Amino acid sequence: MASSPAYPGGPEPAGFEGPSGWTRRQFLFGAGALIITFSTAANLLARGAAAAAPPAPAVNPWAAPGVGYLGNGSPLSSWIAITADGRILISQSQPDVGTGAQTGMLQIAADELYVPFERVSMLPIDSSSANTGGVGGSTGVHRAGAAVRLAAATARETLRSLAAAALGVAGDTLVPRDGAFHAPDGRSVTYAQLVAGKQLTGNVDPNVHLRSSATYEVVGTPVPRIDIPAKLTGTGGPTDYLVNQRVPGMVHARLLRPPAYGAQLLSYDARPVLKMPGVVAVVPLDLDPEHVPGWNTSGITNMEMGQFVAVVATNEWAAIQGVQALAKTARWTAGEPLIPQPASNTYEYLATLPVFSTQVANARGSMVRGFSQASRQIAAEYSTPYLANAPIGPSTGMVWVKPGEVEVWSDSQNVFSTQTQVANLMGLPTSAVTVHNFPGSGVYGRGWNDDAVYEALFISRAIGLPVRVQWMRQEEFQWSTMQGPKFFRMRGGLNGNRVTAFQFDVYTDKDFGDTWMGQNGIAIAPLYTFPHISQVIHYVSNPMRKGLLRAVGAPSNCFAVESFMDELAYAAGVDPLEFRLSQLSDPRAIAVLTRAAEAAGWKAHTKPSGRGLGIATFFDPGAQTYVADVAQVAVDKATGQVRVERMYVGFDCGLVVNPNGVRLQIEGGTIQATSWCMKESVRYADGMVQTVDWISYPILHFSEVPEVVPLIIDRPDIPPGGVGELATMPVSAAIANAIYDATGARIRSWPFTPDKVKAALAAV
Amino acid sequence: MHFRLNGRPVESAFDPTSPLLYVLRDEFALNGPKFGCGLGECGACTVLMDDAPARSCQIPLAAVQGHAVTTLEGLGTLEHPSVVQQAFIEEQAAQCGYCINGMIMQATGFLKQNPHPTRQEIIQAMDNNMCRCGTHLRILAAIEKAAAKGGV
Ligand code: FES
Ligand code: FES
Repeated sequence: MASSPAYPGGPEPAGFEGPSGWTRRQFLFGAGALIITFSTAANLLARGAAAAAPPAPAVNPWAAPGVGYLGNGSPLSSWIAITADGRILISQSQPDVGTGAQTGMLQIAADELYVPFERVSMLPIDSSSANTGGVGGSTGVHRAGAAVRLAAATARETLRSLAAAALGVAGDTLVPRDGAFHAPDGRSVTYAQLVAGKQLTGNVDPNVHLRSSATYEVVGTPVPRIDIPAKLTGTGGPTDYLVNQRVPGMVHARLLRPPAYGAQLLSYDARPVLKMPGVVAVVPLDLDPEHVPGWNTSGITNMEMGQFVAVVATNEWAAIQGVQALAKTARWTAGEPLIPQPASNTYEYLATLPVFSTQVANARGSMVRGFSQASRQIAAEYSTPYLANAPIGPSTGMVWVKPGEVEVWSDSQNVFSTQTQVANLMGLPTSAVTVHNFPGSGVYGRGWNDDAVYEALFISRAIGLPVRVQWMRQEEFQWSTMQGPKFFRMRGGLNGNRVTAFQFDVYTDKDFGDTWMGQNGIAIAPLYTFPHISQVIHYVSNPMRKGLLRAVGAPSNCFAVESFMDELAYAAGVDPLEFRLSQLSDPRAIAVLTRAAEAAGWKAHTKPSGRGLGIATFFDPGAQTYVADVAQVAVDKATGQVRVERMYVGFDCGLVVNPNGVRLQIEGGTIQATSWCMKESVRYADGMVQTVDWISYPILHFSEVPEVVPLIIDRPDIPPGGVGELATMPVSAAIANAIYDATGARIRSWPFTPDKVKAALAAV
Repeated sequence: MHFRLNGRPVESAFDPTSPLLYVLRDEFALNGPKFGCGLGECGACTVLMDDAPARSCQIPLAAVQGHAVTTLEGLGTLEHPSVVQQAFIEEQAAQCGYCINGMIMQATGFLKQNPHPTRQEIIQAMDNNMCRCGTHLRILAAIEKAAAKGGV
């Protein structure tokens, strides 16, 4: 149960004290102080419904993105509660992974309830939270925020009815202000007074009247993020990072992993390790269900299989030393041979592998007609390499297997999938598994794979103690999921300055990450008014373990599409900005491009000067957000060194809930994507990843970071779109296009290293 | 081993070969210093040793005998943050925030040595602290702000 203490006999109320000062336990069991309880069982039912039922049709576009979370009826009491002193507690399940989305959701709740921001707070996330799914896909404010809006508005209208009855006036004469309803005759009643002794009943109403965005007071202001002060002062406590959660009796595990993919453990000697001070146990792990009775991995996506040995100790250093000692005694078989990584680090070979399925991501008109209308055809090929999520903090998980129940401490991106998967593995009902969620290091998609949790589960199952597993830096680089490589074939038909046919073929892995790529693939072309478009994904099978990386393949798709748009523009002899604008009809797309271009003083150079500007744009129909970048670069032609000086980012995500939050996501996404395309690539050889640390897998340093100029177009009359992933999309194409503008050299693969730029310059 | 930790004399019974990071986290239950790489490459574990930034994953416990160690917790509190912490809060200089312990400790040590740095000097001082979230521009702005306020 979510309400159980962190450990038997532990200081349970403090263990779950929310930012509001109310404890989860008080909250759930009343303790005489709280008035509304979360209805966990009903919430569980709603969760199943939310997963199964298609989103109900919603009239109000402000509500539409959140309706899917309500299923066939979601009890209001699972989302929102009001304390005796008038504070408002919100429950939802998307962890804040550093985007500030929770702060944005609370701003929305405050406005719908007509209370100051200080009066609302978010309950810690666990497996009893109201279900807004997991965090990903830029859905925090866009979708979960819309659900919170519905819950808050439903609560307000429910309170209005209670107020009308209490004051004996018609509800529509009452004015909500500052946590109370005010009658025309001057009498008023507070929310806390209204709910005293009663429970709010009923479901969240998907058609509830929503407050007009024109009257928002908290939404639209740069409210400081709720989580930052505690993170910056090391306060500890139950809202602090997962890595700072300590349970008495907890032991630390570190893992000995194979020296190569597929290597099998032949033997090891635990005896010398068990004699080391602090070492508690040596536990062999075999995550393969065929080898372990009662370990059910069905339904688990992308679980890491293989054989490991854990050294468990009372402190981390003892565990680390234990693994080092154990490694000296371990013998392994040779690993599996892998398709060798091309020395060029480009991935043409993907197109030569057997294709086992194809997916038409987008089709309009006919390629035959489109190319027959063209007076010229242009073709180009692009590729992107393996990328690591490369979080600053490696994977961590803590699990305690107790008789008949399991408690999990995790920074997973989805508490419910963690709960279901742990329950599956143990053959327990989900109700026997409690998952507490805490902030973690920014993992950007890695948090959909609960490796450290499964490992801690396996070990705790063996020894019965609360086990904390933390990966070492090298393990994170070698054994994490990563983004797979892609190879793009582009073909375009031109007639004068118009594109008649636009053909996009990508070769990529069909693994966990890439099954999502189709959705993002759709996102690219339709904004352009080309009459004939074909976008096809060809799935192949390629080594290494793939997973999700921020924006799930869309930035690399955009690299191919928007680089090729530039090539088409130059082939047509048209300014790349003009070329794009003339083939767009959506005014929001035109506005972001124009805004970025104006700010940058757009001017395509006719003679390469070593300095240049490049433009690229992206629209995500899921997130309903538009972005356009102008990159300003300087290229040292002697060394091939590219300096990304400045990125101008035109950005339209509809109504801006928190301008500071949106700006910070634009800065962060732009810098991270600059790092991907300028520096990053996973290299492997001899059956193992060879890029194992920050020297061999460099990311952008302070001295390489571009200035970022966010140019936000606020649209208070359009519901808020997604933000977190969006700024990453056009970055690499804008930079590649700027390098071309600066030098005449076209770079068609990530990363844009000095060697590659120099080689391209030599070919100009 | 005897040393001063956040202003108080302490004694550690840990293995003297243990990197200071694990002593701070596991024996003294401190939250500021983070494990990032254990290799001295990222800066997440940074503390001050006698006022100079030091990577606690690279310092054996034996080497702190007789020295003064300051962690994030020793700079300021939620109620009374240090000048640098306050500047980071005002600039909202964190996304996931995992790197920020190191950023604040590195910046604090640097500003103690160079209270009026140029932006270029700040960039140089911070260049080997890694951030995955791209918070760099906010971090630079926060350090400039702390310097302008003339304190750490
Ligand atoms: S953890 Fe010490 S430098 Fe990375
Ligand atoms: S803020 Fe996430 S690593 Fe720097």
